[in-house]
Amino acid sequence: MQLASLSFVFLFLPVSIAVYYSLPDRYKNLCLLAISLAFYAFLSWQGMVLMAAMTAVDYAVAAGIHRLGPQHPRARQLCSALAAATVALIAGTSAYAQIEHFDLPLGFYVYLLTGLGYVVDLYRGEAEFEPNPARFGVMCCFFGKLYAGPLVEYSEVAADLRSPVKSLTGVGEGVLMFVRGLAKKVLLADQISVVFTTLGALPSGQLPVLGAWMMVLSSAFATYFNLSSYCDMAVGLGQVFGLSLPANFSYPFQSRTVTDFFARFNITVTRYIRRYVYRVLGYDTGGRLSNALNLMLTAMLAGLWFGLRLNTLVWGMFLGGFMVIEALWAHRWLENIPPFFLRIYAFAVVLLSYAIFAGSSLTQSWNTFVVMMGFSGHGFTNDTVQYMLLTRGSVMVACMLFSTSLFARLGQWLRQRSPLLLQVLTVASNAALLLLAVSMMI
Amino acid sequence: MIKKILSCIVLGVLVVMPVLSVLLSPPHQQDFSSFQTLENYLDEHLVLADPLRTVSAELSLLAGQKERDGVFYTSDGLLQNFWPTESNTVRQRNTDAIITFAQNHDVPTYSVVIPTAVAIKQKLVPDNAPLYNQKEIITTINRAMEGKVTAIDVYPTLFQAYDDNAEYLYYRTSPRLTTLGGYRVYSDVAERMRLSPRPLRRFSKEYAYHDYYGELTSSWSSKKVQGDILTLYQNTTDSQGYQLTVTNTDGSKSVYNTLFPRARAMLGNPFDIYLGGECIRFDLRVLDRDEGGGLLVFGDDSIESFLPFLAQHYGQVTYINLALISKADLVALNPNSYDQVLFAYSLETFCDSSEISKATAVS
Repeated sequence: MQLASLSFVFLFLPVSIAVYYSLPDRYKNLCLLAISLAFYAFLSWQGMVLMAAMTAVDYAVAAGIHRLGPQHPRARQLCSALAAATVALIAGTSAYAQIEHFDLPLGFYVYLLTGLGYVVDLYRGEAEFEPNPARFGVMCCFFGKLYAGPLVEYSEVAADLRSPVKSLTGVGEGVLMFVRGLAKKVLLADQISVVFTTLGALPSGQLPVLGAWMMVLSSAFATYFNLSSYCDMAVGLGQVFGLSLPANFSYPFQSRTVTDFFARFNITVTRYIRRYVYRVLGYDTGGRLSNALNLMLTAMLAGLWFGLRLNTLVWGMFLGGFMVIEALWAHRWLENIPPFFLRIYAFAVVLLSYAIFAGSSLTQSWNTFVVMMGFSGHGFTNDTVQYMLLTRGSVMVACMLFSTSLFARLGQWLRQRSPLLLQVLTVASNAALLLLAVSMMI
Repeated sequence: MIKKILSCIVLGVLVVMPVLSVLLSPPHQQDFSSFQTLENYLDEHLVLADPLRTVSAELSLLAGQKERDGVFYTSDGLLQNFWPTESNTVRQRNTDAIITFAQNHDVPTYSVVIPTAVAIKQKLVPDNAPLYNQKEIITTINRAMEGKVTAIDVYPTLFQAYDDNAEYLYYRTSPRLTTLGGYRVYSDVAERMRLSPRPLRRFSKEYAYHDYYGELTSSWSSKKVQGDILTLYQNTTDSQGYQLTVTNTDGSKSVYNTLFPRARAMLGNPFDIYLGGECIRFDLRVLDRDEGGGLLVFGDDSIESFLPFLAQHYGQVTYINLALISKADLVALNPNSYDQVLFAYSLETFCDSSEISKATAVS
C-alpha cells in the first residue's frame, strides 16, 4: 500500500483515525504501533517482521544501557556493538541489494538510524530512558515517516508520546498537510519524473544539449518533490496522530551557498550526521585539513543516504568540495556578493551536481556533463526534447515556482492585508488540491 | 473557525466517499485478499470517479499534455503509442517460426502483420512525439520471409485510406481495427491469396453497439472523446449458413449458427460478437457448401475484424490462438488438410509476444 493510493486515503487512513481516537489515551501508542505494523504488513509481512525485530533489539540494548548506567564500561561496549552492527547491516544489505538488484525494505534506514540515534543519546546521557516499549516503537516505526523520513530525535516526540493530544483542529490540520503532500506528489513529483525518465532513456549519443540540461533539472526537481512530498505527508500524518514531526526541507533551491543548501535539504538527515558523526570528529575545531576532511565525510554520508552507490558518494564529495572551499577560503568573499548572484551560484553548483546524482554510472554522468557543456556535438535539441518542452513545459515551470518560497511569502503578505481573503483562499485551494490529487490517482 | 470547518469538510470527504462508494456499488464476491484488488475496486467504483477522471483529463490537456500512460489524445479519438518492449530477438524468433512452419508443410503459407492505429493515424499525433517506425519494421519482417512465405503488406492500403478519406479504420477508444478497417485488410489479403475480394456494397451494414467506450478511456476520460460504434457487415447476396464451434478459454465448447453470436457478446465483452471473441480455437464450417477449400489461421484478436469477410471464400476455417492452445493440441493439428495457412498478427504481438514461435511445434 502506497501513501498516495486510494485504498490508503479512503480506507486505511479514516479507519485508523477512527480506531485511534475511539481508544482511551493509555492505549493510543499501542494502537499507533499496531497501525504502523499493519501498514507495513500490507506491503510486506517479512519487512514488517524485520522492522519489529530490529526495533526490539534497539530497545533491548537501550534497556541494557539504562540498567547498567551510562558510565558503565559495558554500556559503552553495548552502544558500540549496536552502532557497529547497524552500520554493518546497512552497508551489507545495501551492497547486497545493489549486486542482486532488489529494493531495500521500506524505511530500512529510517527505523535503524532512529533506533541507533536514541541508544547513542541514552548512552551520552542526552535522552531519558523510555520505559514504554510501545512509545519507543512508535518513535522508530511510525508508518508515515517510513518512506522518506524525517529522522526524529526522542526529545522531539517524547512529550507527544507521553500525552497524546486530542483536537479536531489538529487532526484536520494534519489531514490538510497530508493532502498538500499528496498533491505535491501526484501533481508535481510524478509529472516531472516523466521528463527525467523519458530523457534519461535516450541513448547517450542522442541526448542533445538542451535535453541534458532538462534531464538534470528534472532529476533535481523529481528528487526534491518526491522526498518533500513524502515528508509533508509524514508531518501531516504525525499531526493527525498527535505527533509533531520536524520539517525536512526549507526551499533548498534558493540557497545562497552550498553549505546553506545542506542546511535546507534533507534537514533531519544532515542534523543526524552532524549530531552522531561530525560531533565525534570534533566539528571544525581541528586544523584546516582536519576540518576539510570532516566536512567532506559529512557530505559523503549525506550522499550515501540516497543509496550505497558510487554516484551518490561522488555527488556528496562534489558538494562537499564546495562546502570545504566555502568554509575555509571563500566565506569572506561570499559575504560581499549580492544575494541574487549567490543564489545563482548555489543553484548552478547544485544543478551540476545532479548530473552526477542522476547517472547510473560515473561514465554516464561524465557523458551528460560533456553534453551539457556543449562539447559532444550532439546538437542543441531534438524531437524528444521539443516534445517534452511542449507537453511538460508547464510542469517544469510549476516545479520552479513551487520550489521557491514565493507562495509562502504571498500568503504572509495577504495575512497582513486581508486575513479573511487568505482564509477563503486557503479553504478553496485545499479543497481544489484534494479534488485534483484524488482525480490524478484514479 | 474556518480551519475547523475546513477540517470537518476534509475529514467528512475522506469518510463519506468510500462509504457512499460501497453503498452505491456493493462488492459482490470480490476477493479483497490483496490491496491491489481493493485499489482496483475503489478505482472503478469510487463515488464521483467518472467526473474526477474527466477533471484529471481536462487538467492534463490544460497543462499541454496530450499523452497519458502512452495514450495520445487526438481530435479523432485516442491512440495507443507503440514501442516494442522486447528486444529484436522476439521478432526474429517469430519470423523464423513462420518460415520454419512454411518449410515443414506443403501448404501455401501467408503472413500479414497489421500496423497499429498510431502509425496509420500519425498525422494526428502531437508534433515531435516519439513514434516507432512501423512501416520500416513491417518491411523488414516481410523481406525476411521473401521466397518462403507470401508476406502481405497492408500498411499502404490502410495509410492511404485514412490519409485520403479519414476512414473509420480503428476504434476511437480501443486499439483494435474496426470492421471497415478489417474490410481494407481483407481486400489486400484476399487479392494476395488469389481470391476475388467482394465489394463492400455487397455487405449490409448493421450497428451492434453505439457509444462503446473501450479500454483507452481508462487513460483519458474526456467528455470530448466520442464513443465508438461496433458494426457488423453481413453478406446480402450469398446467404450462407454457418456453424461456428468455439473452444472457450476454459476448454468448454460453444456452438453458434452465425459469425456474430450476439448472445455471447451480451454476457461479456462486446467484441465477443465477432466470431465469439477470445478463445483457444474456433472451427467454422459453411453449411450446404461443397466448393471452397480449408483455411487454417494463426492469429491474435486482430483477425476478428477481417476474418468474417475472408471466411466467405472457404468451406472450412480453423482459427488457432497460439497464446492459449496446449502443446498436445498443437501437435495434433494437421496443416496439410487445409488448402492455405495464414498468420495474421498485429505488429504489437509480433514484436512483444513469443507466442508465434510455438508454431514450430506443429508436426
